[in-house]
Amino acid sequence: MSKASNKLECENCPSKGQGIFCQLEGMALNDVSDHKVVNSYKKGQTLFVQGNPPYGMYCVSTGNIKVTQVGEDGKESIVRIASAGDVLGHRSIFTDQFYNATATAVEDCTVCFLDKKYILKLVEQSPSVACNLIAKLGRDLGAAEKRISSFYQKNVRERLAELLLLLKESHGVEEDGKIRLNIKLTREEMASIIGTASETLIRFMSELKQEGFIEQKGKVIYILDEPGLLDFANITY
Amino acid sequence: MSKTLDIETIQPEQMKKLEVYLCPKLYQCQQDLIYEGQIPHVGFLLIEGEIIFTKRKKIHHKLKPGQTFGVNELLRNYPLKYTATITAGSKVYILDKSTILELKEEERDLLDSIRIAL
Repeated sequence: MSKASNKLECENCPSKGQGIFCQLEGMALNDVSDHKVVNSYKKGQTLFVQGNPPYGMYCVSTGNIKVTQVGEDGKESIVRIASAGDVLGHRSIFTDQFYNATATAVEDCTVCFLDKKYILKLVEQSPSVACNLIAKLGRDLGAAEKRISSFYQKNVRERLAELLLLLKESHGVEEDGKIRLNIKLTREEMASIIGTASETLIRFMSELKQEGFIEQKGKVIYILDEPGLLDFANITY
Repeated sequence: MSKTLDIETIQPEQMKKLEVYLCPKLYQCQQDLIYEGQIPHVGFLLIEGEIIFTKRKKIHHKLKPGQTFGVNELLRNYPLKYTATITAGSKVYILDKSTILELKEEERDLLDSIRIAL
């Protein structure tokens, strides 16, 4: 058997302050650290697969993970992107249903895992964890509702601009007066998120570049004109 | 060449005892349960079907019903040397850390049998 691996303590987590356990302190946080299993995933490796039984919750420490669903027609669509501080598999813990999506690393990631029994015990004992989980479920529901209405009320152009703005919120990093999206998604993946064909996405990306809203260097996307994109996406907030 | 290990399996009376703690879980789709070099999130006791262990894409061995994997590595925080893939239609008992710690308190002998059933 190979050597025991070095464990990432919650106290030293790169995404400390963003997760649902982050309000725990001292002994309680150490207990989570002792109980969890920390693993690294390479790009393309799966955490769980749609249709299989859940047995715990995953907490992303670093990296991005795509959550995809395969429809009856066999078509895969990206439901959301989980990033540092985010949790995965939390819904299945309470519903006892099979996973309704597949989680795959889109880049090298570090992910912590806690088993279902432990999470349920933690929810009973720690109001902050319970509240953070409820808040997370609420945000997920809000995002799902927004996505559904987007599909009905917005055209592809607007949905693309909206996606870029969402990615700016979750992965945007200021750099030389513009915002770099710190996530590398393929055109197919971006097209899948907004529910269109890759060709259509490429056409509208070119349009946004020509209008001066964004620029692209290799796979990296920069947002140059956020108010312009907001207007383009037909968003008022 | 792949091989089926036949060292020790969980006996029917021990399976009965385990039913108090665990429910069988069905894997509807094939899945890599754990990748080479990772620490298992949980232990698995195979009831039906097959779990295949590969290293550098070559099959190393297969687990047969009544055998377990992952419990020792999970308790010791050791990484697994192989990628473990469960085939569609397989049934398992999932031994998570909380359950293993319960068994440690209440059913020490049973846990010892699980730990050597590979």
